[in-house]
Amino acid sequence: MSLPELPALVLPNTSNSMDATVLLASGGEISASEFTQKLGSPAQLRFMASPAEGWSAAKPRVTGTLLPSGQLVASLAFPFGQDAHGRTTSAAVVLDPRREAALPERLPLAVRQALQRFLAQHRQEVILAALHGNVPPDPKKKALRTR
Amino acid sequence: MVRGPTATRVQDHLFGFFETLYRDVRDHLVVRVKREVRRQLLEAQHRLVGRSVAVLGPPAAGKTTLLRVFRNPNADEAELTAYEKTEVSPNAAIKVNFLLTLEEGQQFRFHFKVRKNADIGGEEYIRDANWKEVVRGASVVVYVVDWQRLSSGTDGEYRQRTRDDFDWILQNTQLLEPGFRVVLVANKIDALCSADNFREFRAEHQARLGQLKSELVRHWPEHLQANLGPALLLSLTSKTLRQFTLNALMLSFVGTDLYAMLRESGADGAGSPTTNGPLSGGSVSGGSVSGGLASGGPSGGPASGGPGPGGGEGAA
Repeated sequence: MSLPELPALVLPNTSNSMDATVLLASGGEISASEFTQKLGSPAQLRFMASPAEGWSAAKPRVTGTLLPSGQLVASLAFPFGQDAHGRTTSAAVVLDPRREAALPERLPLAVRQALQRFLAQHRQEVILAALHGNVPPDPKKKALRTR
Repeated sequence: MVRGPTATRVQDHLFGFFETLYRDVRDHLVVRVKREVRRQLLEAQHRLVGRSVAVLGPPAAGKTTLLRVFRNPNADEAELTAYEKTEVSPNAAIKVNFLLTLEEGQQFRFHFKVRKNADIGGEEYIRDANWKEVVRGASVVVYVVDWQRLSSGTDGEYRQRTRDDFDWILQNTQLLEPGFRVVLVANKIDALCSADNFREFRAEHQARLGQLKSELVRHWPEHLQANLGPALLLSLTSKTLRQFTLNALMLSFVGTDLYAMLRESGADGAGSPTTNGPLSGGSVSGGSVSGGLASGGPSGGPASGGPGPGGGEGAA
């Protein structure tokens, strides 16, 4: 199974369909289940972030894993929108933090800029977090905080 | 022939004697049954100490809400609606304290502590990656579905998802505790009925729920069908309908023997619980389910007064 093209965007599941949808860098869409299977089903990746824990696009929840292929994958999850029941939903950008790449255009400009700023300032920490899985995430971890 | 005053006195005396004897025996039996019920309740509480309850289901079925109601059965609607979608959140221990109705007018304080519990999302990628950890060692699996969506008959994807999830549970039964129970809960009935027409609604929908359960049970091997508990209608957000339906779910945690005993004894002379007690009416058992509460069919809640079609009889 070939690895999916990154960066990918895990779209918020606002309609509460059976599975979340992932928008690949190539423009294609697959289910989150299929996406994680392509990555080798890493249980460490998380695509949701609770606003109650202080996560936002400027300070996304970082989880990640080193795939057997040697590719490092990090998920930057942040609260984004609401579902049909008025519950806060999340989106996530899944990328290789060692590579510079344009973030998915589907995201609003302000969100993209916030994520880009975060990556510019914390790329090393994101790489370390992805290497260590960072599950469960520690919101108090200073390395991941923006000042 | 005219009876003398002595004969009448003897007859009255004998009648009084037998009446007293009958009353004493009846009281003695009722006291014994009540004592036994209490003992079994304590046992049920003991069984659940330190055990885990896995609440599973598709997205937005009401899993998080159910966990919130376990924590506070009296929670207001506003408390149950403001939150975010869940992925995987380990929770602190839950102390359940519920006034359980076993028979009309017969309530017991049912409290137990569930130490391990995790709130888990319903998206398929979460099921693939994380549900196994949640069901590992679980004593009770509560499978929650959005009944409005499922019963509409138009959402084939949702029905298929329910079947897939039951297949998933079956494939992972080796992870569960011995004597595990799987309870099917049809949630969000408040979108389809109110307290005023609940009984009519239940009469119609428990049969449909029974059909669904039969369909799901057919995929399970016979030796595991006894582990499938009752199928229950549930409303959590409506505080009134919660009183109609939550009792049955709590009863499904209590166990088999208690219900069977109550059914046989008709304690307190309240009549057969299969026809008019709080244990009747709302539950549906399907397929060849045997044992467990499904064999008698608890449900309905304390306010259920009318006879429940099916009344928990095997629907298959």
